[in-house]
Amino acid sequence: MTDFDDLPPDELAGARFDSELTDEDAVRVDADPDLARQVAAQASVSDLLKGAAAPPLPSSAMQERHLGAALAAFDALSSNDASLNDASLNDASSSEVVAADGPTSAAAASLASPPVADATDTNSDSVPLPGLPTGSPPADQSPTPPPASLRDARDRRRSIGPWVLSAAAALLVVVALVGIVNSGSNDDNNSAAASDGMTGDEVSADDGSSDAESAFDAQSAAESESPAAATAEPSSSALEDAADEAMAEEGDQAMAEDDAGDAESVQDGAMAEGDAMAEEDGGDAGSAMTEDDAMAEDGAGDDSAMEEEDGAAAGGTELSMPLGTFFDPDSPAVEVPTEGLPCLQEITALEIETAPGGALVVAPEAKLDPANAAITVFLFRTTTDGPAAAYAVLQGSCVPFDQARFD
Amino acid sequence: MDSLLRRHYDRIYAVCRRIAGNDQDAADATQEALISITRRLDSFDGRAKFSTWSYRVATNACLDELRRRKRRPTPGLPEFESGEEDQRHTRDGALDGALDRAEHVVVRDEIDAALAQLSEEYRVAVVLRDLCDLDYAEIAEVTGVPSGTVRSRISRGRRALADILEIGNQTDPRDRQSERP
Repeated sequence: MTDFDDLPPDELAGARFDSELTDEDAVRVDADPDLARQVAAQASVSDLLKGAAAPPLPSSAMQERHLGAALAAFDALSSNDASLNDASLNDASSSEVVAADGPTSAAAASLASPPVADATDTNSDSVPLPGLPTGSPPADQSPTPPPASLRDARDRRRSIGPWVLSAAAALLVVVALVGIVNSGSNDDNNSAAASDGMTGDEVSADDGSSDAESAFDAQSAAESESPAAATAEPSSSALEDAADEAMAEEGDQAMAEDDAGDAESVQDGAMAEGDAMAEEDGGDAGSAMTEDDAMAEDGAGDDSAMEEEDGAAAGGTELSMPLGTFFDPDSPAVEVPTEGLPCLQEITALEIETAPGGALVVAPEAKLDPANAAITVFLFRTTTDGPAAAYAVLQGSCVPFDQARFD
Repeated sequence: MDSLLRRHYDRIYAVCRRIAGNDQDAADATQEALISITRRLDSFDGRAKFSTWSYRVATNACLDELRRRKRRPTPGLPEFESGEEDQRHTRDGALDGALDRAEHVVVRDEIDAALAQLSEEYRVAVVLRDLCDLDYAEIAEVTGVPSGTVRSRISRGRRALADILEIGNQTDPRDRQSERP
């Protein structure tokens, strides 16, 4: 509320009309004929604005274009997140894994893959390095269209920036882990992380479970497609040459030589760290990492960091995202039955929306969908007195909620 | 997401239309606003209502669009297909309805023209208050200025509109003080 004596008459009148004065000051304004007249004038203008016909909406076709573009942007953004899951779901050996795990994992893989038509993954413009196993590329690795304008390019860079920063941090963790693994185990076991041509998928597999099969696949692929790299303990200079050559062929060499200070330079840092890792590992050619590798490791790093943050067990059944973002402790929440988590099909019946009246849904709970462990579901309670309802959002590194994918 | 955007589309377009002053800029701003909402949804921290947050995104998108084009908004006649409301009137076909609609269109155009004459700051404040029904605190959050400035902009914006639209005669030179935070 405002201080009556400090306000000029027109602001007093406006504040009175907008009910922004205390009751006492409102009485004082009403008692002053001149102020009351100004209040009436403000009301006239406001009523005219409110009463005027609403502007005609664009044609339905244009509305659909607007919505379609926004949804495409959302899909593109979320595909970045989904790619983190895709890395472990769509790797070179994922077909066998999916088949072995049955329809649940298959559904997860299909859900994690955004529609090709909508996929504009900003990180997918890196191409597999020559000599590296390509396997089955993730569905979201469709070619990224060139930015239509500087503005688009700027937006794209901004969307990449945080991921790249995370990737650089995660890569440091991976370097340390690889160092520990290599120092703790023998030097000639050709572990997956140390094998040449390690893809992000394989990194995820190795990071998550140290799956021997994945490691074997990675090793086999590396040996078949990059026999030189599979040679035991090549010289550091040879490794550097191989890495540089791969970088050059990927078209990122200029980035690798760029200075720090922008997002791209962080990517370079991540790549440079990859080189360093190879040297430290005594001759791994794994330095030739793609951006996607870094992104995949980013996801692994994020997950581990968040698990630490949330104190969750490493079993993968607890939260994978921090909840503070959506949580408003000051908003009262209606009681919502929380026993039992809706299965995937039930979730599809819910809409992502604000509660009736525009109130925000609060008290989120994030759990892994029991029907599909690859998907995290966020449940919300509403702040309204309306019917209790839970709202589900798939967010962050999880598969975005998209009704069409569940139809 | 589709449902969320559809639910808020009309309101987002309305605020863009009022701030932009013409259909084309409003359409472009709406497009940008929707994309911004999808991109920034994870930054929605829940401290404000979603509608308020979306208004902020829409307002910023609209102002960005206007600044990008470096031109003042110009009121324009409807270039698009009529909305459902207009179509309903047309179907009725009653003369009174048509006249009433025509009158509404005239008033709407007059308001558009009047709003276009306001400075950007006043126009945004008045639109958010009188058309979006946000309170001063919410407008302050949307526009990033103190609520005292919001109050000043709204009152002066309305007074300017009254002068332009020749509503009443409340203009008092003594009241014309500089905007205060």
